[in-house]
Amino acid sequence: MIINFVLNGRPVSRDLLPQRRLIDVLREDFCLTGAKESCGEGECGACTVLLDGRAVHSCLVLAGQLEGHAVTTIEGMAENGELDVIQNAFVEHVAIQCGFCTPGMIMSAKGLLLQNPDPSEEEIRIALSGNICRCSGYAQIVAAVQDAAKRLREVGKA
Amino acid sequence: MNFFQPTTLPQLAQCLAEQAGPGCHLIAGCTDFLPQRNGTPWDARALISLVNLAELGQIRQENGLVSLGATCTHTQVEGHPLVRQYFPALAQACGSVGSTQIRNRGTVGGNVGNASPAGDLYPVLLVLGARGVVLSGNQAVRRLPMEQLVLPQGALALEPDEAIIAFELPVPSPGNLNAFVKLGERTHVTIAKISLSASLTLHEGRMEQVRLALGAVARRAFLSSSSSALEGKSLSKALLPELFDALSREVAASIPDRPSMPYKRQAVRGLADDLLSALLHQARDVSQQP
Repeated sequence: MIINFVLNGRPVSRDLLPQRRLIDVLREDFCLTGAKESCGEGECGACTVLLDGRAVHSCLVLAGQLEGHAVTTIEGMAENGELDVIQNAFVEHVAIQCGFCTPGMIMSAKGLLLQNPDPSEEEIRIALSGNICRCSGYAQIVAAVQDAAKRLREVGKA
Repeated sequence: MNFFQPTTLPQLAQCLAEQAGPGCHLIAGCTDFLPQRNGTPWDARALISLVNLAELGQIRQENGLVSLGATCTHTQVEGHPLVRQYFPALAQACGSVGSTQIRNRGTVGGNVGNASPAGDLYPVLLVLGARGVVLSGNQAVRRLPMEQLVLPQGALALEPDEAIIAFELPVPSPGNLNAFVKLGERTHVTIAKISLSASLTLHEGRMEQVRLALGAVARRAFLSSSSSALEGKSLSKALLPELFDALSREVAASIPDRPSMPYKRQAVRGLADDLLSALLHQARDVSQQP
């Protein structure tokens, strides 16, 4: 079926089997390989993208349900070749080791800051509790999100 | 495979009438549906997606009832002013389902409809006296108390051509307190090993109409007879030993042969303690309101 949706700010229209998963459509049809599949059952968060501004697992969204909705992936974060504030904060805080969880972490952080520009540490930890990092860099990740939130508040856009 | 996305109740009824049967699945957030199908051949002949029915995504109050549409997400329910005002137990339960990503996508209808013994919402809806609103393929609507919506063995008591479209909760009387507590392997993103829900009315300092439900113990969450440990008493932490004893005996009696029984009959003490704390906290908030 023809499905029309917005992907990283651009309207797209594709003939997709409705039972395909969003992560497969992103990686195979659009070559957007930032979202990673690890568990495939909504436990690890590596496939997190934004759907209408909210963090969701792209391994648990069916293509057939995308009509009229907006998907943002990690590839949609940078603008004009400049990394997003959250991405920069992750780099500066060395909140990355192997990097596999990073796209999902950043999309969960983005989803949080869109809803709550001034989160407490506890709120950040809850928002990221569905994203697993096996290099164990949570302290740096939380610090990066706190710093990104502060910088976004200073420039007045979350 | 056919994929249906009805936008009105008559369209949904028509889909149910024409498609229901083996190989036809009702889907919403898919947070249970897709993991259950990992690694298995695709078995669906037809999918009926409920998420484009605007009516099913609404929460509203009318005629003394709060109606929760079946496709309201956990995030939506947790944050809704009517839910926060009347049903803190439901806000707490929705807020403790899975991760943010799951709560943003998973729905209340799916949580109840999958009828997991560890589902967080069913016991809460049970103590709150909710009814499930069910649409059938012939456009008839019937309302079932929660006890009848899910069978004791933990399966949905609906015909293949029926769908849950909403839950109706009576607006609680003044003085009502309700709370939900659960115990899992970790604080967040955890499936309940055991949960405890409560709804009661504080009248002149005493607890009346106490309803407790134990979740993740038997195949289906059930109303607990341990409510008698609270009925008619004044709310205080001093009730913990009596409440714990009653719950512990009840857990042991309901799953005598289950390997998890020795753990659960002890673990319920922590839950009883958490529950009394939550109720006391709410009682203070209620007494401070003008």
